[in-house]
Amino acid sequence: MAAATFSEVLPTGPAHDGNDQGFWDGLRAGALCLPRCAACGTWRTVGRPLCADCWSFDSTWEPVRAAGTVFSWARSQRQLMSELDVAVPYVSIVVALDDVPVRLLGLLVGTDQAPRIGDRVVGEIQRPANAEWPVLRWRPEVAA
Amino acid sequence: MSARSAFRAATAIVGAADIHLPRGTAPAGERALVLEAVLAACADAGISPREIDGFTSYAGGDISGPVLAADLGVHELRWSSMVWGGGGGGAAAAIGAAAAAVATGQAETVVAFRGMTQAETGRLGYAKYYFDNFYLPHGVATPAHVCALRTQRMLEHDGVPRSALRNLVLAAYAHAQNNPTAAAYGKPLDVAKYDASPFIVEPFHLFDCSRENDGAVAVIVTSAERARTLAHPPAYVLAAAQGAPGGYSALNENDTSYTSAGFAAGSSGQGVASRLWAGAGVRPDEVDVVQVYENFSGPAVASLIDHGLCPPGPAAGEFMTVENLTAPAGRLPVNTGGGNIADSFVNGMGLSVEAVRQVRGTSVNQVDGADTSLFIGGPMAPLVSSVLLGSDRTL
Repeated sequence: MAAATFSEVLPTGPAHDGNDQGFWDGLRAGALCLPRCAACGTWRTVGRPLCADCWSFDSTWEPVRAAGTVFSWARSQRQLMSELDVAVPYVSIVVALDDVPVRLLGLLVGTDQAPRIGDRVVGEIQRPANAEWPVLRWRPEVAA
Repeated sequence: MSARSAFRAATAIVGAADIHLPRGTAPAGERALVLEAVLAACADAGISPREIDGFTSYAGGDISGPVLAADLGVHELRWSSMVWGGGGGGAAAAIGAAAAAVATGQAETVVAFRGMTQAETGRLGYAKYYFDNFYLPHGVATPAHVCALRTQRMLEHDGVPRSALRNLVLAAYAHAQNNPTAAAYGKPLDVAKYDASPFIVEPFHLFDCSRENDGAVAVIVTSAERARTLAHPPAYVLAAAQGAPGGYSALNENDTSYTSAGFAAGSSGQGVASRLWAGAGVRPDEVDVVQVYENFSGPAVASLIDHGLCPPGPAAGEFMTVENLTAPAGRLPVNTGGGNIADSFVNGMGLSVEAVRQVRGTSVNQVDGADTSLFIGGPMAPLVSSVLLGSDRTL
């Protein structure tokens, strides 16, 4: 599938406004870090300058366990972007984290099977060859 | 309710035009196409283009009110507004904005329009306008991906059956067989062909995805009083609503109601759909015909659920039958020109023209005695909108 009109570099790294800097710095340091309101303790989704509960601008970046369940998934069968170092088909998932009320988008790797909603997954930090910053990939949790 | 008495049927759509061509084939640019559509809508209404005094649109672009006003040589420009955010979700809101301008006396004759060509806009199916580095590294790069994620949960978690999506598509294809301008004209679709078609982004088959066209669409809104003096039966604007519930949209897939198309009520107890019904004084079961924006089939089904037109969960399957969705005699005929999937796609605005035809009684798939005609704008967008049109029998 020739769709070489896009950049071959995987789009990663902080936005110009820096509101998500701690997330990317965390991945580089080997941890999933998410923003939490310094005033009221509410977990935020990444990239927002303000707490929508108490309107404080102050937040801290706290490490969070990269484990959760599949909230939804979609399997791409046609290449709509060329930056991915994964050929179609690939499965994108929304992960509901175990420990904080935040969902993250991710790519499911290490399996050829489509997941089911509710399946347990664990995250691992990877540095794709075509990416400047690391990304979080997800694998099915192996039963202990 | 004073808001309702002020806005309900104060305005009407009096002219409508839909020009669409296969994508990449427009002989001139978007601006020329838009002007062509505006002139055609004026001719349809029987008014002079000089009388246009306002312009509204959505989803961005440089073809602004002052540009068009100068091109058309209007007497005076009084209104120029763009629905802010939401892409195709703002399609019906552009009509709502035009009606608001007229109803409040700030303009008299306002065009709501949208034009796009592949050469200038590119393909919306590949648009990356909304997607940042929390989406792109995970292969979530287009509206298809996000709508697929939301639709999969609607199917697997909420229990809406796959047949609901398929039957919406089959009904649209059935309608397109009577519409010579539809892309699917002469190309009927059946269950076997649908099921055998490849997945694009699972759960979406090829046939679940909208088309893309070069084209332009324009509808003209003026006062109800003036509308009664013009060429066609007025399509009164009974109500319009736009927005999104709190906890929905632009939250990196953290929306509270993830499988909603955005029209349902949030924590306020109100939403786009409930405000629409309250403003119109019409119940969902009183709607005669619906044009619902299908970027993809799944979000369109979610839109019908949000509006209370179709039950949620497994019961959606009992309602969403081809028989129920097909004109002239179905319980709720949907996308009677073929819609974005089987007719054409100019960012969904073509659906508004078919909604007007149903009120006038001129659709190729006319619903008998259609008095209330609903146009639902783009679903599962950060901002969504609906507009309900009515015949003079709804006044």
